Amino acid sequence: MDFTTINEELFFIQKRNEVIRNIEELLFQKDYIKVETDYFEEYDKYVELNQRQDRQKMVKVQDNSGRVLVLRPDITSNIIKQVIPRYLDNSILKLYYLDSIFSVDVNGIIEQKKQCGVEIIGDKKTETDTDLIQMVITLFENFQIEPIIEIGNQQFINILIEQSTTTEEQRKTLMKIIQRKSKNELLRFIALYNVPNKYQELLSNIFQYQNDFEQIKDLIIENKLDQRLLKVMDKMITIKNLLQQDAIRYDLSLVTDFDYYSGIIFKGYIKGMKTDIFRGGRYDLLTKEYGKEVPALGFSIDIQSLIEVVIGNG
Amino acid sequence: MDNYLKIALPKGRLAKDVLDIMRKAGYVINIDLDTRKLVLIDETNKFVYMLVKPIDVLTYVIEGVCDIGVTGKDVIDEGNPDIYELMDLGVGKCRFSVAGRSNQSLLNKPTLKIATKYPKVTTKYYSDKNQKISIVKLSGSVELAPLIGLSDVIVDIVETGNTLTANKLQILEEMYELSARLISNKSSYRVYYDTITTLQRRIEKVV
Repeated sequence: MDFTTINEELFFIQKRNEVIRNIEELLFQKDYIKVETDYFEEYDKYVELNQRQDRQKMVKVQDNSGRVLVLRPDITSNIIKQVIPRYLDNSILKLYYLDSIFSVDVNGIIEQKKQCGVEIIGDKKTETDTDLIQMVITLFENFQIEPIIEIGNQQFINILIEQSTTTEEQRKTLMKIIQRKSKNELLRFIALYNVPNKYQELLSNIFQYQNDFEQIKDLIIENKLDQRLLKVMDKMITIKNLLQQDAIRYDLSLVTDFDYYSGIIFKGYIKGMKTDIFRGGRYDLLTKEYGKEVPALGFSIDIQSLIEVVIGNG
Repeated sequence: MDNYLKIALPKGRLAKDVLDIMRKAGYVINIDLDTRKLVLIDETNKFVYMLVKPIDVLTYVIEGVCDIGVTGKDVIDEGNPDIYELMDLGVGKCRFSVAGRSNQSLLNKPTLKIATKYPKVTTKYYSDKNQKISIVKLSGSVELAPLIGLSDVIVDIVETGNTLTANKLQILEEMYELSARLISNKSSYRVYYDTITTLQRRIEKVV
């Protein structure tokens, strides 16, 4: 067999540079500033903040003093760690990065993935959520790609789980069940752990809800559920009205791999690709962990996957 | 065939069971599992079935070459994959069990030596019970291990128990029940949302 020649290799590199240039051009026009990030995170702190992430998938590094570090599995927490302690109240920061993240795959091999990500810090307006999603759509449009975007709300799931469970152990189990969309296990959980009657209907149908927010609002009012759920639904209605796009789907059972999201969350898919190509959302709670509660949101795109799609489309 | 839903099925009896469930759910399926073909195209429903080993069903779905698939809960638990586990199909029922020689005393064993095809499931089960173990990973004929002194016990899936009896082994502990699950690639779930959820809804009524 023939191996990739240096000319072919250079062609791919050229394509990659074009894709990156195109993205950076758009971000530059929108006043985003490029930042450099650290390679390492403190293991203990990282694990504490990201309990849902599989520890086996993290690349651990130890220095001579015995300090255990993680080769960054994501970049958002890294940026927040740097920015929040020095954040000036009421300022809005628009940052982006182009860096690699690291993980261990099922066979124990270290994987490196190049990501481009955007973070907006200090802006709590709902319009900013939709503007951000709109920007991702534009970014893909520049490559004639139309991803399907799935939107959910982590706050909705968090409140629902909190109200349906009594212990931390149950909370984790229920979160995992929802993450896997396992209907049978969900029904078994409801029966086994005495989920309050008034929450059973909302919880047991969670995988079916799409954009029927008005109907869910009625259910919340009728069953006298937590008032915060109503507010979340109102926010989702606003978002739905602001984002009139064909490629958008809503899924209220959507859960991300990261614990720090606390509001709207979204993922982007392209037909024929095995995983999501971008993901993001609002993570106001993460900033609090680093000293100050500041509204924040962002997303990250897998650059290698994007390049493959761009090359595949010719 | 670009828009066909690709379904990974485990070769053998389970594939037949799954197609029977789909037929019961109202799908007209005119394909013959008895040919030696590994890829079967169902023009009526716009489905493509791929017949692979149960453990590879998981890989096909993770890699997205198949959109959905059917495989045992044992395979899913051992792989801990990032997929949707949409439903329990109620077929292929068996149990994860600990088995060993009859009349065997496991007292005075500070470390239990276990032969298994499922090292991750075994490790998790015993770490929850605070029992120290060491694992011998095998890929088949696990029942032989305790007989020849390769291990104290085995952890394996047990359906009828006939293989155990034939090898003079008995179940020492039943861990938990298993069955076949309908799984989906996360990206495919979104791309083929209508097809997959319709299939799921229709199957739900008959299992």
